[in-house]
Amino acid sequence: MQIYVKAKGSWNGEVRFYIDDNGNEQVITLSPIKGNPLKSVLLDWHRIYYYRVPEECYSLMLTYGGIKAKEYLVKFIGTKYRDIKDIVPLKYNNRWILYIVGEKYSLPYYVMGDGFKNTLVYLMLLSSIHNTILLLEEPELHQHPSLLELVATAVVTSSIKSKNQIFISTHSLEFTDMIIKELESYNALNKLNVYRFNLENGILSTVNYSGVEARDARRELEYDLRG
Amino acid sequence: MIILLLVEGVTDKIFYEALLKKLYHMSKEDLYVLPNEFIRFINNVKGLSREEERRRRISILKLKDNNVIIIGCGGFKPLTTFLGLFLKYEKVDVLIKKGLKCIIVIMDRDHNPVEVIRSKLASLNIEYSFSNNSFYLKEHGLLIMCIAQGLLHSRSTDQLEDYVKYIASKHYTSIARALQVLKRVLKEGLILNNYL
Repeated sequence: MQIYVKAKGSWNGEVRFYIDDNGNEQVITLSPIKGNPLKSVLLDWHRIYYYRVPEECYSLMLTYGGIKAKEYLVKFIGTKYRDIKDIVPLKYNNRWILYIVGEKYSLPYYVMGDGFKNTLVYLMLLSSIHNTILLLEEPELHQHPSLLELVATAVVTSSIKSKNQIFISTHSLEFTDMIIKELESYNALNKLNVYRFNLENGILSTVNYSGVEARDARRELEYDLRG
Repeated sequence: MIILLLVEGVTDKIFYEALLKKLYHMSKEDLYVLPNEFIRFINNVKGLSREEERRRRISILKLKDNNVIIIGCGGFKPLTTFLGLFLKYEKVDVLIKKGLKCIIVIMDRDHNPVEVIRSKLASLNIEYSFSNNSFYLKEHGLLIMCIAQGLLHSRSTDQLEDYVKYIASKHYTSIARALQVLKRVLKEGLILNNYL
């Protein structure tokens, strides 16, 4: 089944009209999300640059996961960055700033590469929250494929072990393939749904692929699921 | 009218291409004679759309206003995946409006094509009526015909090879002569290059 959605006027956070299967226009209004803000988290790429975002993610990680979560994070990220021995907030100019600690030096989070920053925030966030709806916008941005693998692993682990429902928007086939591979390793491909969006002449259409369909499409025919 | 002929492999594609050319004197055409929506779908299938693969796996044959698109999907499983993706393609209705009448699926008999297509349509929740090895998709107004290749006899391989063997047996004298010529040419080439 295909659903066509047509937005009219300026974007104000709600879809006003859609056209149903019979070609009739229907009106729907999306209500704002209610409840504890921690129950639904949106993470997009430019937030990683804001002062306090990594520090807050770090605090969340320690609050909900304890020291084990941090040890796991350091070990996990250490598989790609062997020099990193610890990640701690240090006080500088009366501000708490997250530092990446090596054997002989420490560097503030904010001078690290964009890919590393992105990965670290994702890993801290994904390891700290449970039973939450997570909205991740294009996690592949600025990422080296080897770091992206860490994010894919963390996303799948967070979904399965921490019971988070995760919505990801992506333009990356590599990332899609990584997610499929990770889910297969947990034998949980049935938890995946891929929606391919196509906007043409102002009409947005979407096609839904199950996890198995997406895997077969990628592996057997290298089908471009991005449309 | 456009007919989409889906076969398992490259050998099958070569066989049916030659067969249609011989039987109906169809001419080979470039992919770009097809509607844009079809080209777009093919371009999405990266495993088929890379230039070299496209030449190997896809043929467009034309006779008057009729186009037959033959696609060697790369095996039995990729064929069923291709069919599923095609039926889910958001522009399939546009293609039907532009002349797509029928999808012919040719599989080796041992894969039981009718049952394979039946389960694929069921998994996609597509309604159909069935008769004479053909599925008529009510929603799209499209026909899917199944052909099981392989001859029905005791030494059958249930595969394309049955046809090839049968044709070869009918033309044994010509093939034997061609093989002799090939052998002679190869031997001359080997002597010339000091291998013998």
